[in-house]
Amino acid sequence: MEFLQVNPSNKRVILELFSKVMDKEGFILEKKSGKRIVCPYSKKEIHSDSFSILPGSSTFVNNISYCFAEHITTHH
Amino acid sequence: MIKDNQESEKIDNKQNKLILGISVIQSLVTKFISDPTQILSGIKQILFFYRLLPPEWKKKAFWIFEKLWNKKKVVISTEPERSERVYNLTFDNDDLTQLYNSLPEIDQAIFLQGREMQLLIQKGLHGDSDEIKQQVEKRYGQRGLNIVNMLTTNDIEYFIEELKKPITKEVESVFNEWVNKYDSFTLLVSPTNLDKPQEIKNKIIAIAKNNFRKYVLINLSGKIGDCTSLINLISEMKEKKELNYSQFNPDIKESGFCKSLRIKIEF
Repeated sequence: MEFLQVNPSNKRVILELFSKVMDKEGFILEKKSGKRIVCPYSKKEIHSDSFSILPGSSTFVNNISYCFAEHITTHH
Repeated sequence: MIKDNQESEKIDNKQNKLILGISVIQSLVTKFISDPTQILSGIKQILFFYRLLPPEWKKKAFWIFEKLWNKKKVVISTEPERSERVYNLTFDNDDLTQLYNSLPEIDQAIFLQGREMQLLIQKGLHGDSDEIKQQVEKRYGQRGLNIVNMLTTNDIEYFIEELKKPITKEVESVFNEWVNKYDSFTLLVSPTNLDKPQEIKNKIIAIAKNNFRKYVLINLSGKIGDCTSLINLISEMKEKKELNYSQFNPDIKESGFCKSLRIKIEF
């Protein structure tokens, strides 16, 4: 597995490629619906300052160990 | 005049980047088809040039991005070192790997977090490990706490010793029994409690009485002086006939900037 850093210069392009945008408070929204996305593991909204996109199903998650661990074990 | 020159330089620069972007995308199409190992660098180049591309080239860039992403070889993160820590976890012995592979998904996830904590402790990052432990307790309750404690204390080795080999899927029920009762035959002593020896003695006696095994496991993480205090306390319990055990085996190891003491008291 390889790891790509999200930084201020590539963040908007990354979100655009996954059909996402940011709202004024920096939370990530679905471009189509305008709704804030929710981490499937933590069930919390995802802020653009702290998130990961995991392979397998392009899942946006919060940067919490159990989110990574549960994604790995359910998508191996 | 100077302003005009600067403006035209800017336009030229933008134009050059655009041409470069298009040629990079064109080369990626060829490269990707012939060399699929270049996934990360391909994604990086798309991210760099994407905004400069005209709409028809953006579509092409997106198409390549999708192909590269669908190879499932890249994690994108604001904290890549954090995700990398979990994604690159391995176990340092075959039995542990076999045990991990035989468990249900949710236990595997807790196992990964326990292993992550163990590696953080070894690096002296006790605070980061404690943060994970809090999340584990909140999310999986006592069962989760027991699994990560079994790993961070290495008490999991005692469980593996008792198992029939090779480890198969049938291990699940024995594992469940161990995990559910783990906190009833183990004690994690905090160095701050060493100034209350009677309290520690009472706890050891209580777990020894209620225990379904022929041994109890005691763990402590602290300074070498803390380890010797606890060893002396357990020796004293035998001398004073407060605890009638046949033998006890203390094992002190380096643990980040601390020492970890593991004691098996056998009856």
